[in-house]
Amino acid sequence: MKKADKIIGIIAIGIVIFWGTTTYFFNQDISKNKLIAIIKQSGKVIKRIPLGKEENKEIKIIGEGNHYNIITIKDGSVAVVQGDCPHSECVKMGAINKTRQVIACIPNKLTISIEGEKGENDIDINSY
Amino acid sequence: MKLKKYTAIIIMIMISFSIGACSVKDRKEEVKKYKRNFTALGTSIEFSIFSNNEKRANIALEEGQKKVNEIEGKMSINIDKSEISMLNAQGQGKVSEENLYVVKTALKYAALSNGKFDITVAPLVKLWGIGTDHPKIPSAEEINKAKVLINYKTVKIEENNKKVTLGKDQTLDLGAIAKGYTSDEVRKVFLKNGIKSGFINLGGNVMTIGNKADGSKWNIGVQNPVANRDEYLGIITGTDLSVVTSGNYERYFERDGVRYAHILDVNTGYPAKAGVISTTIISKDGIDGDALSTTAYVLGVEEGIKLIESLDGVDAIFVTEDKKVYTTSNIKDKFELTNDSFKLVK
Repeated sequence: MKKADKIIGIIAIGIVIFWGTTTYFFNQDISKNKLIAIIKQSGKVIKRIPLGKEENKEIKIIGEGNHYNIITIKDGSVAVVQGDCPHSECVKMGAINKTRQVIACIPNKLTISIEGEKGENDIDINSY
Repeated sequence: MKLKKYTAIIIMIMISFSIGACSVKDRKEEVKKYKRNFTALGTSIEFSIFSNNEKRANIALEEGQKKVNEIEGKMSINIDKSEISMLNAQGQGKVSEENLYVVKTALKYAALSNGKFDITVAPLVKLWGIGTDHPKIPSAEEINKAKVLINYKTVKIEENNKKVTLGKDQTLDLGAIAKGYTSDEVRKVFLKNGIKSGFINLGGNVMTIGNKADGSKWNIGVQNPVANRDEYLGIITGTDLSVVTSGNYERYFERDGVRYAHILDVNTGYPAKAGVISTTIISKDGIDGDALSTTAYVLGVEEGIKLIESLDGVDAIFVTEDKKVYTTSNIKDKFELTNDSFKLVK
């Protein structure tokens, strides 16, 4: 009987923690995320990741011929931290966080660019 | 039974979290963006506002659109029964407060610009037909006939009677000032409805309210006069700004390789040729920006900068044919040139 109680207790705490964290994230102010990292492979968009200040992610992308890249999203920027390109150019590019910047890793046919909420611009409106 | 006790505890905790989450959500006041696009004043119009109250936001957008249509109905010379059309037909008449205010302000800028900005330019505008499907290069005789009618000094206003009297055969065209006035009025509507963040874009006449939802300033692009729409040569940032641009790329026609743009010089009777391809005015109110952007365009860099510098709270950007950019001295942090095919002249 006691063992069953313990298990139920752990499940109960698990549910509570799960519940608490999902409702917390649900309340994140989405309007703060104004930039999105667009990851394309062979010209096709494979991932769109918001670059909000709270985002902290690491992604491994594997392509044809077992080429790979490890990408991190941190502090509102995106960077390639590891890859199998010959001179690590993509890693040397460092972190990007503006809409006109691009990181490319050719062996893996990967490009990472940044889009503003509106599309491609740093501006919200145009006066003409 | 112990199972029942645990279930009860789990349920109570879940409930308390939900209640907590709900109240946290309300306290954070979920701010959303509300937009509206429509056509009026002969151009495309966009409203974009941030609000935590959906009902109020939609009322603001609706009233804003109504206001635009109302103003167009009173001022447009493309509408036969508008007040201005009737005034033009009869040579004199009573007008609403709004038209009185706009005509009065237009005359003020006419005097300030020594007649370079003149709402009695209507016959010349009609003659050229730029922006319509029948533009033409008028003969010298036709131009002279039209020029004779252009004289802001013969427009008389009786404020207490709200009456406007035009000189013989004169007609008014508020096209160079109406959009600016309209943006001020729409701003009033939004503020009245509690909107503290947003922008109004009346065919390129931009008005910003407050800052964006995250507290950062609105970024307003300045159209690159030699590139496609939405390509900008620089960015203006600030709070509660009106940004109005006049350029030779907005309305024009081409004949034998020559471009005839819609902003006319009332002294020559031809499209203005002061070496400027666009002017941008940054000010608090749209009515001033609109009148001054046309004026500055006609005056050119030297005279234009002199005029703008003499006015409080107004900044200007001039772009010349040879891709040089001139600005007024106080512009500093408000404007950043981002396209290096243009040269900023200090």
